[in-house]
Amino acid sequence: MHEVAVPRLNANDETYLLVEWLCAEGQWVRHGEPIAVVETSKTATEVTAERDGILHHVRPARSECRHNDVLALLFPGPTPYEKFRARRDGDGGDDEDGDGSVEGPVLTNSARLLADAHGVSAERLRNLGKRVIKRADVARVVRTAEPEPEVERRELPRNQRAVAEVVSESHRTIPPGFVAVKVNVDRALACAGRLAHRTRRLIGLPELVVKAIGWLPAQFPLFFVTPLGDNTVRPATGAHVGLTIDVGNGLFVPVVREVGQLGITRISEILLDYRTRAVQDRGFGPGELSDANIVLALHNDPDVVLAGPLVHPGHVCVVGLAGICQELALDDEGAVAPRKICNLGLTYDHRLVNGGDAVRFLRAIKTMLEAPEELDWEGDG
Amino acid sequence: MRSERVVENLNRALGGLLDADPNTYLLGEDLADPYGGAFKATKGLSSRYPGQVLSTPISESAVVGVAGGLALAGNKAIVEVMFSDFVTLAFDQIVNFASKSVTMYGQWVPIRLIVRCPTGGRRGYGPTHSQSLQKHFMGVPGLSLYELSPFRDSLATFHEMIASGGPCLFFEDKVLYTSRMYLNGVVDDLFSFDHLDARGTVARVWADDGDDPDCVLICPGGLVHRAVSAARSMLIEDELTCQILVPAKLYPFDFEPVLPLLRQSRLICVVEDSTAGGTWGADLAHAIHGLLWGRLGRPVRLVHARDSVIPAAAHLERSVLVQDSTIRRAVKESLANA
Amino acid sequence: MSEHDLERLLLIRHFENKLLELFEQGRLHGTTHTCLGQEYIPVALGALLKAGDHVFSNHRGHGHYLARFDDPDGLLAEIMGRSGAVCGGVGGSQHILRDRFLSTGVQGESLPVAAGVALHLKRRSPGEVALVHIGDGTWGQGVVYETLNIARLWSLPLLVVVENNKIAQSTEVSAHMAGTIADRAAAFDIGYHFCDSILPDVIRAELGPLVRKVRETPMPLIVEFDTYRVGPHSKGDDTRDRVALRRAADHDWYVRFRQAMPERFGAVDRRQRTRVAAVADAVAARPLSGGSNAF
Repeated sequence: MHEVAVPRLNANDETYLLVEWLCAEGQWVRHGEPIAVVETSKTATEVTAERDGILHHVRPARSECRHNDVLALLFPGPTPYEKFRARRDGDGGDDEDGDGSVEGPVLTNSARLLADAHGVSAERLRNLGKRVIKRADVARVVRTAEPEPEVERRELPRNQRAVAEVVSESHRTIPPGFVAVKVNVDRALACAGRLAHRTRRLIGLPELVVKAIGWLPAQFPLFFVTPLGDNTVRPATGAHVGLTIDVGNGLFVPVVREVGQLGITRISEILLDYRTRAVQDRGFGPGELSDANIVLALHNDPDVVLAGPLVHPGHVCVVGLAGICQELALDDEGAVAPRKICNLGLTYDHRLVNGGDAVRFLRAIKTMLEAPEELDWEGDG
Repeated sequence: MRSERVVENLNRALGGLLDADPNTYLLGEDLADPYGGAFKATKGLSSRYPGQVLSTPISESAVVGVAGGLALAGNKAIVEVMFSDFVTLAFDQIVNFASKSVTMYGQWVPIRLIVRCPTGGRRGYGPTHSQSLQKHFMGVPGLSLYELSPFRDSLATFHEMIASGGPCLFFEDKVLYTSRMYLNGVVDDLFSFDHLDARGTVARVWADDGDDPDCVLICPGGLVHRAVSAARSMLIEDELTCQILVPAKLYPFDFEPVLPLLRQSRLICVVEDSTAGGTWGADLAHAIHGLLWGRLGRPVRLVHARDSVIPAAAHLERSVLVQDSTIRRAVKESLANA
Repeated sequence: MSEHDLERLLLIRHFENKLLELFEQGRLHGTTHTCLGQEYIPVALGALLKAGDHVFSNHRGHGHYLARFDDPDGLLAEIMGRSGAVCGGVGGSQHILRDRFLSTGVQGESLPVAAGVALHLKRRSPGEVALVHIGDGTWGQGVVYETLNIARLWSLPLLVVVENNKIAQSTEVSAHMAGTIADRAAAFDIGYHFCDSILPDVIRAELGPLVRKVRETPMPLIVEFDTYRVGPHSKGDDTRDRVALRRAADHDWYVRFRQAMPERFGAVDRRQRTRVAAVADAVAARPLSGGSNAF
């Protein structure tokens, strides 16, 4: 036996009108065949049979009905139909015309509690056309009777929607690993100060790290490739470093291309330009936001201890630069002395590289930052 | 029009058999009118079929033996054992003669013998007049076990037993005699019934056929009222949907019509009045575990009487025999265990 | 004594002897109960029976079968599990069904079955009887008394043949039966006849009118044969003392008939001995029986 329920026709009407039956009681109807016409305040709609079967009218024409009420029953053959009729006639003593009313249903105890709590009428329950009414049936009636209150909805900004898409994709598709190393940045900071003085540019730890990453593709080619799926990758053409910039107007990741071919002066100019445009909310061109093959996530505000950003889809890893902290340490003579340190993290796609690779990658940066005087920061190679 | 009582239906079926074939005999103690049998199942029959209905001395073994001889000579013989407890007195005739003769002579020898066994307790008759001995006759080659059901015209069951060509025991729950046959698919205001096979061998009782059942209770005819009562309270009070399967043939059991339903159920529970140990249910459970292993969420649950004699005092008898509350408790306990 | 009777008596004697010989040689499997010394009873009764009569036999039933059917091949094949067996080798020595002959292995079990058949005969073919063989030991079974009671109450044409060999397996009749069989028959108001002859013609003359009464009245009858088991209960399990064994041997018809008519006896004896030997060789050479589709 299959129940044909009244469909949702519109949200405004509490009740609809069953205008007429298009098929007679006891008639064999086909799947998809219109069997009744139901009218709302706006329109009349045909209700169709959801499968083949012998039709039984649960309610008479010109009667009111609601969404989810049982309108008709479809029996798979004459035997179950006759049995149903016999039982109904035997118990209910309905007249032959069949006014559509069926005997009152039996409620389970928890259904009765819920019905009483919400004042659901006996008639309303009878109209469900079921013999046994469970808690879930009453709950459906209660939900239908009390439409959900309209809640205020606001959409996220476009930029954040794009972020949501990227991080969701990352979370869904990339199994990450994470590792971090501690870097003594005393000498890097001194070196950056000297470079800034000489070039009259704003040069700090981020600029040095960008330049350092530019030196790594030859030694660590796998960290710059583009995964293509099926355990294949596209080799990198160089280091194109995306930088996370968030000055309160949303997160942007503009790209510094071909870092390996740029000197520290040029890098500092590009970074300054990006920061300025972010602060002024002037936006970035599409070309400036794409084609990175590695990202440096800048979490270098004071007191940030560690950062574990998500790997961007299409990348192998992301470097996280935390803030500079001061700590006491034993110097070479065993005396306690202050020093500045910074934690450098790497989140990586574990399908392509392993923890050991990640540590070697970070150590390479650490070595450069802890002995910066030996490097040619202005050079383009 | 009210439906006939089960014992009236049984009486009509016996009359139908005697009427249809003068080579049909009905033997047993105190069958003849005006007494008409201890439970009145044969009332009026000795008057209508005097040569075929024979009241016998109190000699279960000889009476079943005589019936076996009648069957051997090509007749149909039905024996009423006054209380099924006494069928133990005819165990040799049933197991070693009637059942074996069907095959032990190297050829198929039809033995159309039915031993009717008024069975079960709940009438305060005490330990030797209240038992359900079905389990003692299981696994005897050539022997089939049937049980009286309020869902099936007994004449159909008798025809089936006779057509089998082998000896059969027909267990008849004594309390069922005075209750009414169920007709037209109606059990009560809540429950309906239908049959899973065309011959009507297995009846199914259900209240709400929308969902897969939480539990399928398999029980013989004598347990129907207790099972329905348990199913009702579980539905109303616990929102647990039970369907009840009532097979007319207990052994050998035909699983084909019931397997689709068993596959859908969260729990399968076999209910019977036999005492614990070596039960019909244990045999069914073993077979079901084999057939549905990997699909079952939990082991088949057995509900049976306690491992005890059946006391005469009503309150003590209740504590031993299966009650509707016993079934409900068992089902809830099994469903609570993942 | 007719030639036929002598032939049949010696067929049974040599058949039983051959079984014991085959057992000793380890060529038979299972068990058997020979009727050595009692062969004359079924042979004598055979002439009193009609084709429509039923015979119910017991564990010691080879003589009953061979008296009714001249079929040592089928019976030996049944016992040896060879093709051509009466019951496909399923029943064996103690469970034979052929036409209106049936044997079963449980003491007293076939008595009520015979009564049921007698009831059928009384209704459907008056004048025919059901004959059932029991022993003195069978009287230990309650169902015997249940059945005699019913047989008398319902006036059934049931002929109960008691082969009282005065020993139940190893237990002397004095240790297993109180009172007498005659008094038991009297208690049920059932006709009774005691027969201590070993001569088929004498036996038939005594029983002829009585069996006719069983057919015509109809009415049950108990015939007690005073007889002796010359051989063991089964095989190699005779615990009787020398005196008892001597007494049994003294009553053996085989010795008496041989003394009475040495030449005629000798010829038939050789013929049947040779015949059984040939049957045994032929059956032993047959393939194993295929059982049946029934079990």
